[in-house]
Amino acid sequence: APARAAEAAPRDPLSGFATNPDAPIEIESDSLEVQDQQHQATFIGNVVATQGGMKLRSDRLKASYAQGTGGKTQIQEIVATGNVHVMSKDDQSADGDWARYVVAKRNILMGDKVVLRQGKNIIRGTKLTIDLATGRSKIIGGAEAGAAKTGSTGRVKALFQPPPKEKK
Amino acid sequence: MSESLGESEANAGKRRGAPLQARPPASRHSRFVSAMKVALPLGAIALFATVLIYSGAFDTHDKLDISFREISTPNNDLRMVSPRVTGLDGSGRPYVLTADTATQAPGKPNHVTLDNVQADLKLENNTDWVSLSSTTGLLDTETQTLDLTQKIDIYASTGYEFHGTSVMVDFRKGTVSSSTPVEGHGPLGTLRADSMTANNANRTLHFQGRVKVRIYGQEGKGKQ
Repeated sequence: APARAAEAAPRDPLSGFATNPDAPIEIESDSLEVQDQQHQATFIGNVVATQGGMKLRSDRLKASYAQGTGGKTQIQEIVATGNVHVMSKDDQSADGDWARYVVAKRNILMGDKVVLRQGKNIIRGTKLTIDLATGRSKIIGGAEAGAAKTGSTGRVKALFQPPPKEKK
Repeated sequence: MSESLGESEANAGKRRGAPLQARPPASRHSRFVSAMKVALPLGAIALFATVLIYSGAFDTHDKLDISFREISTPNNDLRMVSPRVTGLDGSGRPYVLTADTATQAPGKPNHVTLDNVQADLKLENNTDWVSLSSTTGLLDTETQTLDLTQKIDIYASTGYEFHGTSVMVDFRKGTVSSSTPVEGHGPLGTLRADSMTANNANRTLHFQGRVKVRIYGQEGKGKQ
């Protein structure tokens, strides 16, 4: 089903976030607190997490882990908060207030005032879902917090820059 | 008594037919006595002179003083072989300390230097445990702290393993902390940081400074 659709479709311009969700994750930060009883590890300060070709920056990142199949401890979920910036290899990036990476579902959910960029193309919305298996991104609009003040309709806004015309 | 001695010698001489008037015995004895009259006083004077000389009475000041060198008194520290210390930490959990030797510092009875020390602590749930080993450690029985230095290895039954160069164990608070870099691995992956504090009461580990963690991928442990 979806996999076949992804193969058929030409490479989408916004499908740069594909990465191998099974690859090791490297995380660097100023400090780390491990709460062994709650099976949580919280990275605080200048957090940089890298998996394959994808990189995530944020102020704070909490990883929840549990014992999976075969008794191996595995990451279940990663939640990043504060100035979240996700970058992929080919100059594609997404910014938001928070991001949630559910490893089993192989997707990243980002929220509140999301901005998706690829080169000069920009898409704004309130929620972004990135499917790491196919690399597809889906942005949805919706009532934003404080939308009345900013006068924003909460709808998705996209700005596509047409490629420069080739001179004849 | 000496005459009877002389008559028997005279008879002996007669019997052997030797001439009597040549050397009468009495004169040999008197010569001995007169010799002693001179020799004995001289001997006494010689002895007296020797004592005077060796008593240093004639020593001059520029001579080398011979004095006994300060022999360093042997270190009267108390040394114990294969000591074993058991106790309860602040939350009543047992801990055991063993070492090759324990040496009590002179003048500081509560400071004990331990060689090849191993400390085993029970964790908060009383089933898991942490074991620390080091080449040397200084135990303070008053503050119930153990300052481990040099090669330190920390193993926990929960799957954590750390290595460092200086670790302080506070049995009263139930904390293990290192102010120097630590590196190790746990169930999730490998880790390094500039400093660390582990709190047994609430089972938290806190790492500070250039923290770097590598979480194993799902395919296999640490595979690229």
